[in-house]
Formats: sequence, C-alpha cells, structure tokens
Amino acid sequence: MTSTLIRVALLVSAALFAIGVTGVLLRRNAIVVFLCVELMLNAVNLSLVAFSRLLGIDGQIIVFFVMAVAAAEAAVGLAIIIAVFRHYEDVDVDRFDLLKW
Amino acid sequence: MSGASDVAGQVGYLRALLPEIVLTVSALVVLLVDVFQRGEHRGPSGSSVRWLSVIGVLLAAAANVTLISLGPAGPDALVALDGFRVLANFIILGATLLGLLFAFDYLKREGLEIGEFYALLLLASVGMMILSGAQDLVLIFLGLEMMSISVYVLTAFNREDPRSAEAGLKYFLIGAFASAFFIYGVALLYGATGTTHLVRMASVLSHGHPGLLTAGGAGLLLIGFGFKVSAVPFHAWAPDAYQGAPTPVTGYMASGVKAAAMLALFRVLWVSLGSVQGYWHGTIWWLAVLTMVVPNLVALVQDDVKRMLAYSSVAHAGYLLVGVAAGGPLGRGAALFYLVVYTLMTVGAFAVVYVVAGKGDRHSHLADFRGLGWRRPWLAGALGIFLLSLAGFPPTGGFVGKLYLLRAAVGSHQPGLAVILVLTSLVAYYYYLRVVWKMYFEDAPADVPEPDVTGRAFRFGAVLCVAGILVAGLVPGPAVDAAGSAGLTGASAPSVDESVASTAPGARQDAKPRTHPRRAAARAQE
Repeated sequence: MTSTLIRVALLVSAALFAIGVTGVLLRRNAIVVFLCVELMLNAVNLSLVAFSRLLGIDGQIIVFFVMAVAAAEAAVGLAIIIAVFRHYEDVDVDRFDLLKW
Repeated sequence: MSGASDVAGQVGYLRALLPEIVLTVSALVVLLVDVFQRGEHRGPSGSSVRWLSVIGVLLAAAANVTLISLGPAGPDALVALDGFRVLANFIILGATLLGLLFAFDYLKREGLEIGEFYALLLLASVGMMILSGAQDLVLIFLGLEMMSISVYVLTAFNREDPRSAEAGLKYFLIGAFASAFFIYGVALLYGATGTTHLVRMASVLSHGHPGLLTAGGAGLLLIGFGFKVSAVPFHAWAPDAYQGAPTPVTGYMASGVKAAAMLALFRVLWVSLGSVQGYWHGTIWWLAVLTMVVPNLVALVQDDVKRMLAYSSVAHAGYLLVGVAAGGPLGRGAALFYLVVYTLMTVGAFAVVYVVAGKGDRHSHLADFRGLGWRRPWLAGALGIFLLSLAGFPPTGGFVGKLYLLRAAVGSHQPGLAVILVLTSLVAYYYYLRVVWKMYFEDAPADVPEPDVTGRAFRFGAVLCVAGILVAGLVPGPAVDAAGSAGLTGASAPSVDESVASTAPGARQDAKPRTHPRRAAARAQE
C-alpha cells in the first residue's frame, strides 16, 4: 500500500518537474519562467517527502533547506526582475538583446 | 580516529571550519561598519570598508593555514578536512583577494562604492569554500546557493547600466534552473541510497546494484554542475553574464565560481559516484570535448575583447574537465594546479580590460587595444603575459598547467582528450595573439580614448598575478608537488567488476594517504 503511494508520489513529482522544465524553456515572461523554476523545486520537495516515508526523517529535513533556499532565491530574483523592468519597461526575455554575439 | 590532532568535540568542529567562520564574521563586520559609517546619507562607503574586507580575506587565509596541521575529520564529517579542501580554499581566497584589489579602482570610477559589494563578495567566497569542501550533497547544495545568490546580485550590481541588469537576470534564471536540476539529482540519489553523505553513498553504491534512480540522479547532478561550470551545451548564459557583469565581478565569476564548482564536481564524481563510473564517465568525456571545441571556435569571431575572454573562460572549463575526466591523484593535481594559474591569468586579464575600456566599460572592442603597447607599456605588458599564459606559451604557468593536464589525460589512458586539448589550444592561439598583435603592431589613431590611470591596489594585484604566473611557469616544482599530493577523503579504487565498462577503462585511482600540501603552494597562490 505504502509503496504504491510512494510510486504515485514520485510519478507526480516527475511530472511536475517536467512541466516546470517545459515552462522554463517555452515561456517568455521572466516572472512566469521564475514561477516554473519554483514549480521544479516543489516537485523535488514532493519526491523528498515521498522518499522519507521509506528512508527516515532526513528527506523531510532537506525539504526545509530547499524551501529556505527557494525563498532567498525569490527575494533576489524578483529584485533583479524589477531592476530590469526599470530599464526596459518589460519582462519579456526575448526583448533583452543588448548582449548578443 | 585517535590522536591529539583529530577533530572531536565542539572546539574541534569550530577549528575545522575556521576559515569559513572568519570570512563570514568579516563579511558581517563589513556590513555593520558600513551601516554605522554611512548612517542616513547615501554616499560612497568609506575606505575602511575596503581594507576590512582585505584583512578578512587575509585572516581567513591564515586560518586556512592552520587546517594543514589538523588530522583527517571523522567518517561522518559533513565537511572534509583534506589537502584538496585546503588547496581549494587557497584558490578561492586568492581569487577573492584579487577580485577585491581590482574592484577598488573600478567601483570608484563607476560610482559604485557601496559596502554591500564587499560583503557580498566575501559571502560568495564563503559559499564557494563550503561548496568545494562539503562532503554531503545537502551542504554542497547550500554552498552552491550561497555562492550563486551572492553572485547574482554582484552581476546585477550596476543598476544604472541596462547590460548589468540584463546579465543579472539571465544569470539568475539559468542559475535557478540549474539549481533545480541539481537538487532533483540529490533527491533521486537520496532515494536510491538512503543517504546524502558522499562517503556513505559511495559504500552503498559499491555494494548494491545501482539502478534507474542512481543513473537519473547522477545525470541530473551532471546537468546542474554543467550549468555552473559553464560546460557546453549548458554554457549559453556564460558569455552574456560575463560580458554584462561589472568587469571585476566577471573576473571573479570566471575564476572563483568556476574553480569552486569544478572542484565540487570532482569531489562528488570521484568520491560518491566513483564506483558507478559507467554512468557518468562517458558524459564527462563528451562534455570536456565539446567544451574545448565549441567556445574556442566561437571566440575566433569575437571582436569584443571582454566577450572573447568570456568564451576563452568557457573553453578553459573544458581543459579543466579533462582533469576531472582523468581523475586519480594525477587528474586531481592537474586540475588544482591549472586552477591556480587560471585564476591568476583570468582575473588579471579582465582587470586590464576594464582599465582600457574606460568609464562605463564602453571601449572593450578589439580596435581600442591598438597601439596600447606604446601608449601604456606596463599595462600592455601585463595583458600580454596574461594572454600568452591563457594561450599556453612557455615560460608561463599556463604552459605548465596544460602540460600537466596532458600528462593526466595520457596517464589515465585517454589520449583522445589530450589530442583535442592540443588542437583546440592551437586554434586558440589565433584569438589571443590577435590582441597582442593589435597592442604592439598597429598604430593607435588619434581618437582612441586614453585608458584610466591605475591605482596602487590595482598595480599591486597585477604584479601579484604576473609574478604568480611567471613563478608557476619557471619554477613549477613546489606548486606541482603540493597539488599532486593533495589528498581527497574517500577517493578509493573502484573494484573492477563493478565499474561498468564504457569509454575509458577508468582512471588510475589509488587511495593515497593524506599528505599535507606544502606551504609553497600557499605562497604561490597568495
């Protein structure tokens, strides 16, 4: 019973991760791209929690680290997005083309 | 685990982490002093902040020297205590010191003298030291993030410049993307082995039958690291981020960030995944080849020297990956020695570029270097030495480093890597020598802007770099010995039957007893 549950959780987590990757690669709005990265991190959290049903408490503790890191990343990332917005009045990543070869 | 020098108890832990602690404290002191000095008014920070951060780095280096005499940490230690970590710390602290010295002039010129810059630089270095010294994947992740988040901010530090903000955004989005891959790899490896500790993971993997989870975890870890060390095909962010970032930060990113991530990659692969080489060795081989070939070809057509150097630094990640692919004490020593030299020459080259580029970093085009050899002989001489060393001419350190990498590649029975390294280095001669040609054999037109006057800190840093490169090239012995004897905790010979046969039949990997790196390496690095 437990192992079925874990398998389902792992599959859902893999699917969420894949959705996140697809979103990062396809979406062009910087904020949506960033949301997709957060989705990937939360997919990882789900599989960590699922694994810790089998392997002990470690996985759940790692989740807290991941959440803390995600929060720090969000703070810095949104600040950078605002800094970019001030220059371009836009957050579409295709429009940032000062740096091209 | 017995003896007076062993790490045991609370005090022992503190001693083993002394460099990181010293550097963290000095970053906080820098922040506090800056806040109290500036108070309400928004002006440039005082000069005491700069010198406090330099002193912090020097103190951390002194603390790092004390690590040499500490015994190996226990088997469960989260942070390793071996020659590999000590040397890695010296490389990182050296990159930080040079980054600081070269930043002074630049920040003054661009009106960016803000205390947070120094604090962020120091905190990024703490992250790097944790990253390259940690023996647990979770701690490696935390070090990686501490480094990356600080460097995102540093990249976007010049808020007035749209290029800086844009570079910061690109670096941030790609970096966060890579971190997600990395931590997913950690989660899968945790699921496969039940531990995140590198040494324990190695023993689990060498006894069990690694399956899909291990393969997936190793692959995702490689993707995450691939982004961080800017290996092709995960390098697309690097030229943009390097070009847009404030130039001293670029030098720091190209040296410190790359060094720390490369050394962590080395540790993770050869310590925890050493017994499942079949899963990753072929991938690393191809990453190394692609990373040597592609950026060297693209750099040929770059007309902007800063961007050309950015591609050159991506290509150097390929040379370093040769050391990682070789593995063993030889590959380890080659990678460490090359990182020492590479740090000196890259940081130095980027620093000269910002001096020539002038205010706002506007004039870094190849044409702006015309006649520099006659207008500013010292500056051009320094840049010439950096470029010749990057290209790998004798008698510079870059030549010895490449030779050492070649020996590692041949010694681990991978002559293909050695051949590609030589060929791509020959291709690279063209774009390095093109700058030297412009500096010495073309006349400057009347309207070429005059480069800045350099300050004392800059000159001191440049002399350090040049001296280090020449010493490493002329008397490489002590540094090579120190790098070659740097032990790596838990790097053990994989049993033959378990290493899945694939491309190369594994590097020579013998568990050497830990030997202390000599002080000479410390001196060469400082």
